Amino acid sequence: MNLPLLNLPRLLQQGVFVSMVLSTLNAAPVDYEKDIKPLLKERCYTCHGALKQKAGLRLDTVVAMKTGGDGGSVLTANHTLLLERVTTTDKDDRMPPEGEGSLLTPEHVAKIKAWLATGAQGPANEIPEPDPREHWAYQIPKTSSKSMDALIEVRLLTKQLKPQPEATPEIWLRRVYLDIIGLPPTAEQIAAFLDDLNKTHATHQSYSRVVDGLLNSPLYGERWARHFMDIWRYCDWYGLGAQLRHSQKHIWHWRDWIVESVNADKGYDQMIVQMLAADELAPEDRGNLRATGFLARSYYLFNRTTWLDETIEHTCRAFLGLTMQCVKCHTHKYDPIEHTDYYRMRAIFEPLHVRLDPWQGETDFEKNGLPRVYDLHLDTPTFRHVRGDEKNEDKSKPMTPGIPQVLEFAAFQPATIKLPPASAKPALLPFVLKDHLSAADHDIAAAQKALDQARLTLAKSPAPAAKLVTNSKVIFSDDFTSAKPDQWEMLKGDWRHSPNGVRQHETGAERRSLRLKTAPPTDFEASLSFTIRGGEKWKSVGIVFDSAGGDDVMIYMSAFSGGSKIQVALANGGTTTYSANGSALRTISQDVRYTLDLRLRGQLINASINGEPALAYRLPQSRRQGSLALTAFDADVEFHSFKLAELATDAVLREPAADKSVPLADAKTAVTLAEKQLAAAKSKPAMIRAIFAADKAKQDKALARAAAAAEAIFKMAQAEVDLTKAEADPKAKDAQKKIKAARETFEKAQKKAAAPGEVYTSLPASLKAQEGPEENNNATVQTFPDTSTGRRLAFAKWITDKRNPLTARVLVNQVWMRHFGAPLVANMDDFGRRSLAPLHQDILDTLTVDFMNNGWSLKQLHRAMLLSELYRRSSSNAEADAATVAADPDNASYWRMNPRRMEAQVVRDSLLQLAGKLDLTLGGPSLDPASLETSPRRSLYFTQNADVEHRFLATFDNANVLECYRRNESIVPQQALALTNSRLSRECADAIAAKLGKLDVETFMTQSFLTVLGRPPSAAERRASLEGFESLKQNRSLFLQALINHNDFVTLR
Amino acid sequence: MNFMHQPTPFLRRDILGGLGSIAVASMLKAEEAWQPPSGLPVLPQKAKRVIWLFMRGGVSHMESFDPKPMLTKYVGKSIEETPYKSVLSPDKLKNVRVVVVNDANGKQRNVIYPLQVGYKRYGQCGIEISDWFPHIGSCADQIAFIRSMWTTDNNHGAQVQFASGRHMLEPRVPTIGAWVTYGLGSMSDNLPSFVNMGPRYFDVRDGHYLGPAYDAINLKVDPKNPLTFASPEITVGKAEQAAQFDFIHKLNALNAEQYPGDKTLAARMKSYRLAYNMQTAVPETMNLDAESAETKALYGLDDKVTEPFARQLIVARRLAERGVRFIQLQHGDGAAGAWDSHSGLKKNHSMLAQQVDKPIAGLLKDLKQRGMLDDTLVVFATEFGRTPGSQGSDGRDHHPFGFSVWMAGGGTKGGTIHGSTDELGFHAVEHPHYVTDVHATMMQLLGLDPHQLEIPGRKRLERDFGQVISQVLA
Repeated sequence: MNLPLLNLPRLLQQGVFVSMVLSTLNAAPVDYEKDIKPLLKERCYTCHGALKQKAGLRLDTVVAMKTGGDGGSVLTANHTLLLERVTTTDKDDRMPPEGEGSLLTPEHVAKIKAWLATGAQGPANEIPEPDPREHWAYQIPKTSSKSMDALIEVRLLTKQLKPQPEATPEIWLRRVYLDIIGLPPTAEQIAAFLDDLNKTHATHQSYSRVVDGLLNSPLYGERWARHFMDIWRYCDWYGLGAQLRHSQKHIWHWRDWIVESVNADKGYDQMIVQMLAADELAPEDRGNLRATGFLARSYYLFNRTTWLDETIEHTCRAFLGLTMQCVKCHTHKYDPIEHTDYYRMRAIFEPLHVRLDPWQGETDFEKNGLPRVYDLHLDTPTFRHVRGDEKNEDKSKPMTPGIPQVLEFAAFQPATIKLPPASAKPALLPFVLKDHLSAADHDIAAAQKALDQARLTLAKSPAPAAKLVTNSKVIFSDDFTSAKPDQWEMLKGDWRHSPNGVRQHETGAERRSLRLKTAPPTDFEASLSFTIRGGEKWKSVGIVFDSAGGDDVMIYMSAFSGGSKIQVALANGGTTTYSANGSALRTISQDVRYTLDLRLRGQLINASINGEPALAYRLPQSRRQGSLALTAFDADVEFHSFKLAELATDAVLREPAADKSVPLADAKTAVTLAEKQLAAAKSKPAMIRAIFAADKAKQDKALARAAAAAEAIFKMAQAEVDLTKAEADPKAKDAQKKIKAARETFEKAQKKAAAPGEVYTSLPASLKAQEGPEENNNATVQTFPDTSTGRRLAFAKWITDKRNPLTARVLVNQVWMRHFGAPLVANMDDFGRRSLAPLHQDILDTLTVDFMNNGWSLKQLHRAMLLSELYRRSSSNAEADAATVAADPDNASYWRMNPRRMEAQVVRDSLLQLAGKLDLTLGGPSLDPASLETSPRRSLYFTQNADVEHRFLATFDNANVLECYRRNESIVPQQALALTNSRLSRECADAIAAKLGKLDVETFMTQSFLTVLGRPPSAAERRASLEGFESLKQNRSLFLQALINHNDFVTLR
Repeated sequence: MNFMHQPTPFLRRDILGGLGSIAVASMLKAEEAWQPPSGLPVLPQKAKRVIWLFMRGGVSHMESFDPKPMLTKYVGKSIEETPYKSVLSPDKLKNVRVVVVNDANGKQRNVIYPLQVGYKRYGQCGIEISDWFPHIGSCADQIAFIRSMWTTDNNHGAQVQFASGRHMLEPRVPTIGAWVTYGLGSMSDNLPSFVNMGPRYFDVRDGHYLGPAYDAINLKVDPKNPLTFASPEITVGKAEQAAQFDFIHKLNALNAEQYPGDKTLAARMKSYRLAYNMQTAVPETMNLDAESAETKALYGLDDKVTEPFARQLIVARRLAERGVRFIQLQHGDGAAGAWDSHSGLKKNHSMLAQQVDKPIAGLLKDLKQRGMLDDTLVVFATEFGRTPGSQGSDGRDHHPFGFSVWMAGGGTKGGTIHGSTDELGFHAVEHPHYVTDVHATMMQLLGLDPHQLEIPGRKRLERDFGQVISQVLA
């Protein structure tokens, strides 16, 4: 809201006014500095101060007020504009404007009146609010050309603080190990270092050698990648069930890129450029395309604005310490950043989208792929969201991409980038043809193998069992058209005879039987023909034999909808067993007529269904004499016929081992299917070649026709496969529909093969991320823009320009905090005007300048910090100068080191390392988070996202994947419980005990301390340990676990 | 000797994290006059412990404990059209500090929204309480209602403010639970002195500059899993485990000689002692088998609506019996808190009130019948009230200018109404109380002088201490 040109105030000259008032009033004393200025600062300066001068007006000095703005002086007369605007009831004129702050109170107004009455006096030489552009963090850092130790020394001298002496070399060594590689030194490494210190009197070189050695270890990259994963919000994909909603599949490639880049000591500036714009910088450098996972990570399925908001917010907080999120809705209240700056920055990311490119050696995007960004929406305009409301776009003025003016040291001029063919069409990547052909070859081999197997199975499939041999002696037969009470005894059930046979109607879980009054011979053949008409659940029908004294054997067929089968059940002494070997899944339906044939010879049973062998089973016990019955168990059933005969001596029975076969018809179908599949697989390479040739040639019509034809041939083969599958199971759900569809597909493909045209499907060589849940043809998109806007590259170059005063400072502050336990600038992610110039700005700036001059080398920065005197200092207050402790209890001036607690990952990794279990394999796909407490891999490799909580890591303040600029260091009893009660801690203690072996007690004490705490025990500790060891009944494992729980284990001393 | 069998003073005061005895030596040189708190009350102590019930999201004072019939009378009118338009005068609205600029919520709502619930008088005192809280009504004679609270945050950061006195935009300072446990120390060797149950969002720590030793321990009411790693995953004998903890303690104590004044070490030592004892004490406390059927019914454990909060409140009583000093319960899920009824207030509040009403009344009655109400202070609080005007068609917005809380037991005067808001329930007008006045009142009842707890170098504002609300004291 501007001050409009109101009626000009009274025309009294200032001097006249003042002298007049002074002579007439004797107002209460009001002090401008105490009463007026703070009020104006709080309510008015945001718009009328150094940050902004709405209506050309500043209120930050009395002179400025008297000079006034577009509306003239605001302190001209006894009815001043200043007073008028803060007291008016006119909503359009009131100050502060509605929504910008609450009105002044009557007390405030009274004070202003009184101040005016005394002549609106201000101090002489009043200094205006400094220009926000002069904020310390917006100035290019300047080196002091002094070492950080020299600067600290000056600070301590000035404040009369006395530094603590050096810590022991062992403590220093443990610090650097944990700081650089995130793992403690072994007893051997400690001994070697002490030895080196003793031998060489050039101690600095000994320290330096250790630091260099550790920085050159690949473990360093893992340790520091984890820090960057905190700041850069590493997050594996998650969503709801299979639906991906956040981040991307295979985002771990970005994690591996971080590890590798850190290990290679790639310049931090290069890393930023690659994360924001590797696709524009070097589109064919596939290794570095992984870096753009930084942007892919913020992908959000449902709302593009949310996605871009997160991108803007965290890019700026992570790299620049700039709180852009504040200007999404309104102009920044503290920093010189406009509301429109937000949308200019959004315009940089507006074209952005995400896709998976193929990963060499894999064609299945579920298994692997490269998540990467690219510019898709090249021409989509960006509009300002009024008050941050995405539904309220200000269409009057499209935003041009740009950066906040306060940091614009050079014009922001993105240049369109022409992309190589494979960027626009990933199918043209050099390995795609080979990978697809190799996948096709693999399919052919697999299909061939399946066919061979199917043929083998067919060969082994038994022929249908012979009919009951004619020379078998029929003992009994019945067609059930009438009751034969002399032959059958009814045991329960409701049996009714009809010309169809006998029907038993009752259902429910008990047996209803017809028992044959004549006992069968030991070896017999029986044939029962029946139709199941209903039942509540089990619908079982079968033959019971050897029935005596409550024991029996039953072989039955069940039409149970949960799994129909044929089954042998043995009842013995009141328990019934259902052997898995005496069971075979078979389709058994209601209202279908079946014939169950049984042959028994001794303990061997053969059963056939409708003449197809179904089961061969050997009874586990010898036969016993007993009766035979036909039984319905929870089945409404019709028995049509039954025949019982003596088993002919020449009847051939199958043994169980030979019965692992499928029915002959199934085996034949399987062979046919395998043949079709092989044919389809064999037609694929030709298609792949034809399509690749057409893709490569782009506009070649002949090649396009050939590709279309090859594709049609493949589709015909594929349709035949589908048809065979559908026909093999005609009773399956939608079988007829499937058969019809397969036939139609086949015919369509056949026509296309004859007249192919020029339309074909490109090789599936990329997977575009869905633009919202409605987009379901995203996988078919295989061609992308062949240019990129260059906006992100320009943005990244601006961030990493040496003239950018923030980027390197923010990084140095992050690294400092991780080595010294406290940051130089308290707000890691806000270097704006709310962050006052830090106490140690000279150190920050000197390190920053050196960092940039050293090619943004992190390793050099570590060296500067870790080889400093400060880093060697003790962290103890013991024997400290009392005045120093009193004057600086929080160690703001670094008169000692700060002790720190290990991060969650370091606790776990160190435990595994001590146990000798740590698997040092580098990189690879994210691991199952459930295996975190059992797997020996380093902690950074486990899946982490907002849905996963690792209870062990969470207990030690694991990083929040949504934002983590600094970890918490809480101390809670749960940590004690985790280190005493967890399987992990105990098993590690066991392993350390085993590793140390059978040492005498004294040596065991020393080695235990060295191993777990990185230092030998003091005399007092040794005494306490000997006592403790006895109280633990000399249990070495429990003793070592106690040391794991020593405060010095989780602490970087 | 096993450390858990040692006399308790060892535990109580000397290594309570922030500024223990070891730190004192060096500290004394700097400031001879200063002494850390002794852990004993310095004033007559009425209450020994606190059960702090915090309703997250903002309970409507007009629909709970502060009836405003004028809202029904002027329904649909703008505030300017009522005789009470002066409530909108800017000087009365000046204290609000906006955290979320241009937030859709936290605005003045000027069209009067009628009362959504009736009121009845309860008890001998005849205090009016809304029909959504009949069970609390039945305890009215035990309760002192304060109808004149105000705060300055118009958004849910006011939860931080109610707990600590500091506005969301100011640096975090210890919460009242942390101050109480800092001032009084523990009454239990096997349970934490300060626990939290239920969801927190804005400020999940309590100790801040007092140190993490004064953070509340989060507990779940599940006896099988009251807290993570509650029991050894590889069996170890009880004696061995005790010996192991004892040994750990001795080693850390030796370490403390090498690192005097190391706050984190002191906090870690305390955390181990607690961890050891918590392993048995916490699951035992969560197991309600020994509670009688009458007790369970009293809290509403037998009803699935009241069951979750009833369970927490029975556990709260059991923790109180076992010496826990400050038991902090949060009711209402979500980032803002479930009571945040920007729309559908009637449905929301009636449902939530049903969840808490019977359990809270059950707690008061149970404490009374066990003779514990005399020295247990129960506080019912929320971050702010809700606007007399409507938000949308059926909601109320955040309202920091006037709202209600209540206290019971622990030396408070039951059956009391203290303070009032204006006719619209807009501003606290009679005896207005800033949130820390509740803290000051509690401290007084606990026998503490908050000024004596101040730590050198951590100057507290006068407002941080608050002023005792003497009218609610028995």
